[in-house]
Amino acid sequence: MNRFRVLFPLAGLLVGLTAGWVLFPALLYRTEEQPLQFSHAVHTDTGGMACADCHSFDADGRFVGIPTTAQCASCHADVMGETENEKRFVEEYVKTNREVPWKVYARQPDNAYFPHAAHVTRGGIACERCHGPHGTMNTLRPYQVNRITGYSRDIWGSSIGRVGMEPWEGMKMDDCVRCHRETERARACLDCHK
Amino acid sequence: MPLTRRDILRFAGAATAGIVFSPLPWKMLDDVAIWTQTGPWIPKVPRGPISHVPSICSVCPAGCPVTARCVAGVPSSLRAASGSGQPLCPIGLTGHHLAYHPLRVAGPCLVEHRGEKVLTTSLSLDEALRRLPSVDGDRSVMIVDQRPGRAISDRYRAFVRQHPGSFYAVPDDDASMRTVGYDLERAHTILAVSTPLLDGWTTPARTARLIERRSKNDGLRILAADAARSRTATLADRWMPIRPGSEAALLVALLHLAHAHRQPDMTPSMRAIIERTTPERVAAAIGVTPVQLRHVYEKLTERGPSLVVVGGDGSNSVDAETDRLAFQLNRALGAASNGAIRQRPAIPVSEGLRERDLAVATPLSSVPDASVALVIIDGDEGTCHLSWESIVRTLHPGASIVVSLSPVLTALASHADLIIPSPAPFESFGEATGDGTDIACRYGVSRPLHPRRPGSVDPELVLGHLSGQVIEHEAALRDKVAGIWASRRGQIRTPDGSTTNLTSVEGAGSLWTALSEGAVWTLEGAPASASVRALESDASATDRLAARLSELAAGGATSTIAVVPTTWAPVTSCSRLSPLMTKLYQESGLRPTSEVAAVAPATAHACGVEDGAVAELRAGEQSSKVKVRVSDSLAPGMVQLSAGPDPVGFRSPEPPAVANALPRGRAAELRKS
Amino acid sequence: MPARYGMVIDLDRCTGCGNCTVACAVENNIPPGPPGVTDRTGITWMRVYEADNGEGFPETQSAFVPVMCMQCEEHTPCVSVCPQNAVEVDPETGIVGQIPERCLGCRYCMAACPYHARYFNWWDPKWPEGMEKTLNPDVSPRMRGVAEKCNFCHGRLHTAREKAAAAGNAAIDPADYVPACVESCPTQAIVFGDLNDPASEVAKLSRDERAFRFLSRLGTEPKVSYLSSRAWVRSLADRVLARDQKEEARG
Repeated sequence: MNRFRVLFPLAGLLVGLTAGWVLFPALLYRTEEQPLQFSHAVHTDTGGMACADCHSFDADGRFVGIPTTAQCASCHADVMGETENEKRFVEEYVKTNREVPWKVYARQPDNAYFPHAAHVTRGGIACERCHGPHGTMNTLRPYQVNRITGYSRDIWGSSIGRVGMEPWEGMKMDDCVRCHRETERARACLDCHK
Repeated sequence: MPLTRRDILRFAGAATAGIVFSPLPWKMLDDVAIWTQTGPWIPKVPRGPISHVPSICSVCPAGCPVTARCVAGVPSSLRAASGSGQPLCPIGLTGHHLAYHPLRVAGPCLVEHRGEKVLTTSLSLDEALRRLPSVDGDRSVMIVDQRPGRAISDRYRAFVRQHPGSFYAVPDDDASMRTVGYDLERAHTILAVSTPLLDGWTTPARTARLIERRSKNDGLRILAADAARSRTATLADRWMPIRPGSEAALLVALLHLAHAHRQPDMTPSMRAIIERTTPERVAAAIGVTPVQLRHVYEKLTERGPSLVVVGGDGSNSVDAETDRLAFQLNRALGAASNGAIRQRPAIPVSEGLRERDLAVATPLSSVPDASVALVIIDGDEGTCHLSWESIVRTLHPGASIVVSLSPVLTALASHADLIIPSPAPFESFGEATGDGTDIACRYGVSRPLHPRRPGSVDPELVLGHLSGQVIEHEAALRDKVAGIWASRRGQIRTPDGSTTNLTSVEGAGSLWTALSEGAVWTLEGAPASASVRALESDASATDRLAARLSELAAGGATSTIAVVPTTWAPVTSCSRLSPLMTKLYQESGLRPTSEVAAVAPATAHACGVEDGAVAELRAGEQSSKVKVRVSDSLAPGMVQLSAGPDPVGFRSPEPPAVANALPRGRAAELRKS
Repeated sequence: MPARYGMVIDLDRCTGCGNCTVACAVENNIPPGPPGVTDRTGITWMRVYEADNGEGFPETQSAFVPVMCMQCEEHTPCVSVCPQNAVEVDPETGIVGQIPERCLGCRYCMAACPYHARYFNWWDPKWPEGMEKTLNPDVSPRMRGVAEKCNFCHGRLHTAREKAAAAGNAAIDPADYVPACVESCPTQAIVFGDLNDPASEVAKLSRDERAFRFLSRLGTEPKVSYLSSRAWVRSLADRVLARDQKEEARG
């Protein structure tokens, strides 16, 4: 009889742990599809392009991020390949001169300031250090957004417990601070906040 | 085995423990903390490529060069074009906000006044245009142009010329301001008579130059004669407080000291007035001593070139007669011969039109009563001091309609029957026709920066509906530019400060390209000849002047107090201000709002009001609630009010401030309410 | 050597036009005041006070005094009272930084500031519809319930650093870092720069015989100096302008 009684707390523990580790992350994040599919691999392998060819800096050293439709149209003014996505891009965005509402995996909140120039140009950090194998992927993976904060899941990392993460995963302040501490670059809050 | 309460508690307790050993509570804490900082109630900043677009500010006619910093194609700030050496004013710094003004009119609409409330009913453009009566022999039109000199102004004038009995009206001060400019750079002594000389009277660049010269002690001396302790009075080297409304008397007394009555071209009646207005006779009426008057005159003649500047602040501060007196005094001081005052040239008319086929501008006050069936008010967003009364009296008693083309609900637009809103500043090509106090005329074009809001209608379309000849807005501007190019005069100044003579610009097309990239065309005036026709007094004006002088002299000590409006000049060329202007008014008190009535302690005591009290200010028929501010730096016997658009009223279309409608020196009563 | 950014403001050139206040609000995404806002609840990182010589009509003389955070170097009062560590002096720039995300809203710092240069967000930041499209992307809007103040347009320092980094330089070009108030001042009354650079104009002017600092007796070593050749204006140095005005308003 006592043996049977002990099952209640065990079941409770199991339910609690499942809720916290499995159910909670499934509920916390909403999955959204990108407006178009895009293959980085085609551009970097077949096209032989480097990251900076499209993700460039402007004259003031500001990282432009995702290229504008106009930039893409310098090659894709007309359909070049055979994919449905490219055709849609040309028809719906290039011809109508609209910007693609991409969902940005690495989008930081407004109060964070991240200068790519300081890290990439001056610091010599490779893009892959923070963005992982993004540039060699054939598809855009689904974008997951935190329902409470509106942040991309990439900021926290794929593991809800932040265990076993790949070196490039995680873009929280802690992740920035860790590297800045190691290299003794952490000084004032306003260095990275705006 | 029954399930006991204890079992359920064990289950729940263990589940809670399980949750504690999961990321749920900790991640929730983190996320909720972030949510409080980035919740939807905190606006997100725009993101996108940043560009720097050269243009000019077309909010007021001065046309200062700007660089717009745009994010994803929307301007986020306007800065003075670097290299131009021409700073901006607070209105220009926030000019890109006006397109988002809370009182923006979304599209054509009917306006109805219901009590204090203004109701608008939107209607389609076709319906709106159908409501305009056709202009023919019986029905005449008055087009009130508050920004004369633009491309559309030429078209208005051509239309009015073709329709006898119609009027092309401009605000009174525009008519008088548009002939003579002042070369402040050349002057060594400047007397500002009730003029906000150092408070936006001219462009920020020219004001800054005066301050610069003074701080370098190059001998520049600025004297202010003003009843109010205006900003200029505060900053001048010397402030001579005068009695409200005595500007004309002061000028006549100075003319007397300059022996102007000995000038041969003076009319006999004017000569008589000047001859008998000795300092001794009028000093008391002006509120100064004869010695002070002589002293001011000495200062003016001590180190020339000297200039006397009056009016021009858009708050009805001086009338045309005072303006004429100032011209004569300047002439007597030698400003006409040494070039300190110059006749400002007119901007050439658009290509395809001839000056002689265009109607001449009529000052609004000269348009006869009850004479027009249709009034079109253009450029209403560009000024704030035209009173509704000055418009309504011209209306035909029968069926008449007033149309405003203002993009925002202004005090005047809220009285109109119909609004067909034109685009807001920086939504379409805008024009700057030059600072009315400068010796040079200018023409500049500001290019569209904002995406244009649907519903706004180019004024050209409204005029085209009446005249039957529709021209595109940009085409009208290109015609104007072609007209300027064809004159082959003047030069263009690019935003980096370099100048090119117009003769070396290849064609009208390249001039348009240069102007739409921020260049400004300028043409300097010739020295004002001894007889500038528009400023010569006529007999009736002289009679009015004589009457005013004797009235002032007889006035003596009265029991009433005088209203003295002061103004920050740039706001008078803007009937609605950026909502951010609360920083200067309510939030810092740097500028008093129009509800603040400042009085001297003695006056407050005499009227039985205290500092901070709400009181009633009554002037003639008008009455308004004011907040009393007692200040011992003011002269007794007057109440100082701030004119201009009220930044308090950016949420509701309130009538303009009481000071806007009142002439300087108007008698008033201040009572506890 | 780290920089020590500072300002010198020539009060003989200031006309009280308000450009600095407005340019600051545009640059730093300070929202317009809501209905009922007063000079005590409004937010102006840069505020221009009118000070006078204390004489009555007609002997009154006035000066316009722009006041912002003086970026106190020593015993920085707002830093020492903050229970949240939400204020700090950046050793690299000397700029006193306020971190709104950490701020608790207790307003100790506002009470401690001898210059009344700190402001509190009594309302959620709100712009008229559509106007948020004109916000500056380099500065994040603050939320209700936190204190804020001038940080010498830190967003512009970011931009200047970014430009330098892209060119491979460690040090910024001083011409790239000019706060909005300095840039917008029509009479060039405000000079900004590195006080540690003896050749800079700001360092020279701060040693000028016309120079003075407000409340320097408190020993907080403010990095904003003022210039005036008028003795009565220099005598303002030991007065608290904001308090004067508020007391006058209260009567």
